[in-house]
Amino acid sequence: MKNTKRILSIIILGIGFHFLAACGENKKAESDDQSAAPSNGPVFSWPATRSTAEGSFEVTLAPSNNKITQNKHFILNVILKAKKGGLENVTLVVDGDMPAHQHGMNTKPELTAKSASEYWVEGMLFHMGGDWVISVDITRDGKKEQALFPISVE
Amino acid sequence: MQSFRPAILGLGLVLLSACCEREEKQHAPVVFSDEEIHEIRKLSPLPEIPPSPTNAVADNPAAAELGQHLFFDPRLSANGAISCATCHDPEKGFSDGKALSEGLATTARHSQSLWNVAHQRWLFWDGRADSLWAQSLQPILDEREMGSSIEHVREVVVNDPLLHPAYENIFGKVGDHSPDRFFSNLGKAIEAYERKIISKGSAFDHFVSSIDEPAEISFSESARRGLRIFVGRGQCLLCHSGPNFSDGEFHNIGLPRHPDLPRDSGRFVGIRKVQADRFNGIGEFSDDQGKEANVKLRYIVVKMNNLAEFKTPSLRNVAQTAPYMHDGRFKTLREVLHHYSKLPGEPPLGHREETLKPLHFAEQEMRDLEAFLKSLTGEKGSNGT
Repeated sequence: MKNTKRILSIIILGIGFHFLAACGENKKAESDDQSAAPSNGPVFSWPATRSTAEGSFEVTLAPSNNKITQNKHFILNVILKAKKGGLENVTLVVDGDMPAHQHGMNTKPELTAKSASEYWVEGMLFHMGGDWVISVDITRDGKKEQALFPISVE
Repeated sequence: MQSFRPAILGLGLVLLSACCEREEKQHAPVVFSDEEIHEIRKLSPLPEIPPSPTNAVADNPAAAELGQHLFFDPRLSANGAISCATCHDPEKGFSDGKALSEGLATTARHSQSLWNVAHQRWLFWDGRADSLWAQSLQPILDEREMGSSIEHVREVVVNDPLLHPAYENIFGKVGDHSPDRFFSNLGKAIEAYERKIISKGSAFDHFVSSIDEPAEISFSESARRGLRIFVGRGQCLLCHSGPNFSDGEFHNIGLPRHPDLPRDSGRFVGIRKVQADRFNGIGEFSDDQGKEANVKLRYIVVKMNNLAEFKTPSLRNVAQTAPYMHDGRFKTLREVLHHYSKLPGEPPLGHREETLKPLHFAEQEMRDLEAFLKSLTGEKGSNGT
């Protein structure tokens, strides 16, 4: 009886170790994924490229002079690339938001299409310093995807 | 009982020593970190005033001289007793020292100081004017302020031996100008004068310049501690940013309802007013209606969060310009600090800026912040007075 208990304990312990090791590996894989593809990570330099969460589009943004300065109007150049499907019937909306403040810009930017893949956004103004997120909403055939560019403005 | 005495004495000494240490730490000389210095440098010096593209005579000395005469001339008002200087008195920091400004009647807002006003992006507490020249015209016609008319003002100028030739030397024959054209020209002359109301060279400015070039300066330890709170835990920089200590934009800071005044929508209505103003930058009286000159006006939009937002005032010379807030409800800087310390109540309209949280200032912190704010009083500049 004593021996049976000892064998059972060893088996349970073994299963426990196995699960623990598997969990560790999963965590490692997650962490590797994060460093390999920071699809919505913060932007530290311009131009910057981000993919939509669904992966159909890749968006590259470049502000005028590759710099966003607090409280200075700027123009944003947008390059759109379709990774799945085409760029026909695509509409774009670009906006800026401060999630922690629960408000965005005091302006309504105007978007001009230079071509099917290039746009100009005028009237951007980040009037406060801090964390902003530029959102690019892309709608194609009634389906919306979004690319996000979190940045810190000073 | 006797045996407890040494223990109590010991405990007392430990507490006393802890208190002293805390006190000493509080009053240890402030040495700013690199990060703090980085933020502090953004606040000084005050740069040259920006151009005013919609006013062709904004920097014309003759226009500034005419504008100065107009600014102090009470004959422009309906009763001949009120001038721009009534509410913007140079001796009172170009404000009037009253909670609510008083012309022919009492208005619903406090008179803003004109120090460094050329650095402002929008004018009035609600930003209902997009240039100084467009701003200066509204009080002349407002029935609670000067209560005048364009016809009356024109008569005063045409019949004045000094003003009439001064106007025609700058703008041409009065007779060739429509009433609105004539009136807008007066505003442009007043702006040319107001652009000279500049104050810099404060104790704080001297401190910032001494970071690179060490010099004998008068900037107290208390002011330094206040500055540390200002750029640090106070988060004052969120709105009072840049060398004019204002982001030039609008915020709802959660002031509770004023017991004697109606609800004030602030920027929510101000946006519609500036868009509708016939003297705005894209109107026919503007000297540059182009896109580049009017970027700020072209892209503004009314949003719900504009409700009860008011313009961030500059803090330069703030110690000279009591009372405070758009309705002048706070008589002292201490009262303003108490508001941010406690954030009592809820605003009657809109919602308070989300990042504003009660700061719970200690008494010493209040004193330090006051000392810092007083260090923003500048030397009198070439204000033409």
